[in-house]
Amino acid sequence: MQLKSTQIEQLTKVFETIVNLVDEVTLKVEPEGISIRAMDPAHVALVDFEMKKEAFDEYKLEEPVELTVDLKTVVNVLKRVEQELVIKLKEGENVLVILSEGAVKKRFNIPLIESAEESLKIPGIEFETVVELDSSLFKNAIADTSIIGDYATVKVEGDALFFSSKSDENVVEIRIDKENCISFKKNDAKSHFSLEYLKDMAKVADIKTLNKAKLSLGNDLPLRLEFEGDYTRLLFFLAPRVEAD
Amino acid sequence: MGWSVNQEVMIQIDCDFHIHSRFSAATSKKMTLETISEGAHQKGLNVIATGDALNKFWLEEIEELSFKNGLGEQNGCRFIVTTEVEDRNRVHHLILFRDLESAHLLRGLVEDLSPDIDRDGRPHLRAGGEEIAKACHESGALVGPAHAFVPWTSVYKEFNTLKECYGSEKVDFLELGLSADTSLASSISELRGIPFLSNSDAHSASPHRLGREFNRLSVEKPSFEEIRKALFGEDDRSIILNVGLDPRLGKYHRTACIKCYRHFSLKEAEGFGWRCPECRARIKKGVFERTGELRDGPETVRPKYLRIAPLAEIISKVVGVKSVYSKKVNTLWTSLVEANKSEIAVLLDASIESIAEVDTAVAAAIKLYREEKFTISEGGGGRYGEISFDLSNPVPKQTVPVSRQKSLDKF
Repeated sequence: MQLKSTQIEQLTKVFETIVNLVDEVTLKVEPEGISIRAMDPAHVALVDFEMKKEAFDEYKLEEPVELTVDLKTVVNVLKRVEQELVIKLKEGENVLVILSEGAVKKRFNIPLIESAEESLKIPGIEFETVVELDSSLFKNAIADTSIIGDYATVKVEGDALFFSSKSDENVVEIRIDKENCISFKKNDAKSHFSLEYLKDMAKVADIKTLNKAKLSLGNDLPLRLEFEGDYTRLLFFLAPRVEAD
Repeated sequence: MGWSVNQEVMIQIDCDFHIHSRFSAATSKKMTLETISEGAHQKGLNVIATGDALNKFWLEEIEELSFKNGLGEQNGCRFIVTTEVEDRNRVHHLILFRDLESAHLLRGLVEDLSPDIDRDGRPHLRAGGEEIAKACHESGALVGPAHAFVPWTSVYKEFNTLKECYGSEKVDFLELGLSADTSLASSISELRGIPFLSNSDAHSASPHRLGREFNRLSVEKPSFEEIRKALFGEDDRSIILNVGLDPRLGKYHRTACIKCYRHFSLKEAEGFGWRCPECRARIKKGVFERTGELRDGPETVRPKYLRIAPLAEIISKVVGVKSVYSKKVNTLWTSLVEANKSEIAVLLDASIESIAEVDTAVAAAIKLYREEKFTISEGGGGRYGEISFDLSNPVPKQTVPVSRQKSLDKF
């Protein structure tokens, strides 16, 4: 196995987002591309990441492999890679080798860890409300909302998408009209979500190639949040918070 | 927790005899003696294992501790020198050394039997249980099977009797493991007279891991010899309490598929040839079912086993924070423990009002926990069980959180 890429920043930022949810991940390397599916330990958020082989400058693979790694270590290593990234497996040993090719050549060996072998299914919910918007609008709405409260109410009402939050006497409401969205499949929907998770997920908006965010909503249903680029897809499911009586 | 006077000259000490250092595979890089001693102090443990004492690099660090009566000391925390080894049958053995010299003696005896003694904290030995136990006894160490009933690396996954593994050598104790408790093992007749230990096998110093199981001993002073006497019930020393995870939360408690975690009865699993009919992955026998096969006599009188759930897990469930390792959980855990002296006190003894002063929602959940108003979905196949609370009903109004976090499992 040998993967080469010069798009290091994108991969690093994707992994940085995932590591906020889960420490250890199993990276599947298959003929079509690489993927990660992981759930945070509290089973509140699920992430499903795919990057097609076309996103790499070189993609050599003899057989599919599953690499379970400490993702924080991988992220720290990727941050030190310059110019070109090379990912390999050390023959006969459970070690992932990450090379940084450039004026200075660097080599990092990262031991693989035993997989927890958890198989995760994507929730099979049919959403009737789907709004697609510029991911920077989404990120800003989350940033504004989190100034005030710990959780956000996300709703579609009429021809607009709303984000709101409150704490004590403080209230914030963000309104994004249908005209400012890319697509708008409307049906009134309202759910509440932890802003701690949403803030982490919104960081994906910093990745230039993932500039559209698609939100699928229901009433007290999980949020399906999808960022998609040419060869990359990052999908989140976030369980709702339910207001107590 | 601190030392507390039991009888005239006796004290109670809480001890976790099984952890791993950063030299073992899949352990936290932060597992240094400094962080372990800090973690033990936070948890309220008086004696903690060093783990991995056959590894020369770790042993060099252990030697820096100040030793007295066989135990090392740092930041007021006592360390007992220990290791775990894997034998040629993939059976794990826990070893408690009398002192540093005892660890060096065993290292000398088994060095040539191990391909990785200095590459792994938990070395593989090309030897069987009998040979290992004999070498331990020659070195003045105590030895017994680690997590004795789990389906991957335990004595009872490989053998039906201790004798098949240890031959004529006696074991000094048996470690129950996270998926078992005393009630599951005390009717196995060959274990009569063998003390049970409940240890964490922690790979990190987080309060969710370190000391998640421990043993409360009644001794005269903290020393290896006093600990040995307590294990064997000599001179009025004794194990007075085993404290551990509710075994239903253990990840190998019930027989289940290792991929999709579907649970099976033994009969079903056998009928399916130990392959899951849905995903074709292997089905692993649970500790509950394995101990059921081994039980062959009346229950023996044993120290009480106190079933607990980790406080960090309860906090994460209640406040809807994504991880038990998150800063929010850790901050709340620390505040609760500081206000109430120890995690055990928060779980069992402190008043609900005093917990509510720190956090009303956690107080509500602890109340439900103490009243046993919770449900547990049992672990199996490698997935931990889960505790859940229904906070919508029986909680006083002032303790109801503004909103509660749902899990994706519900969808």
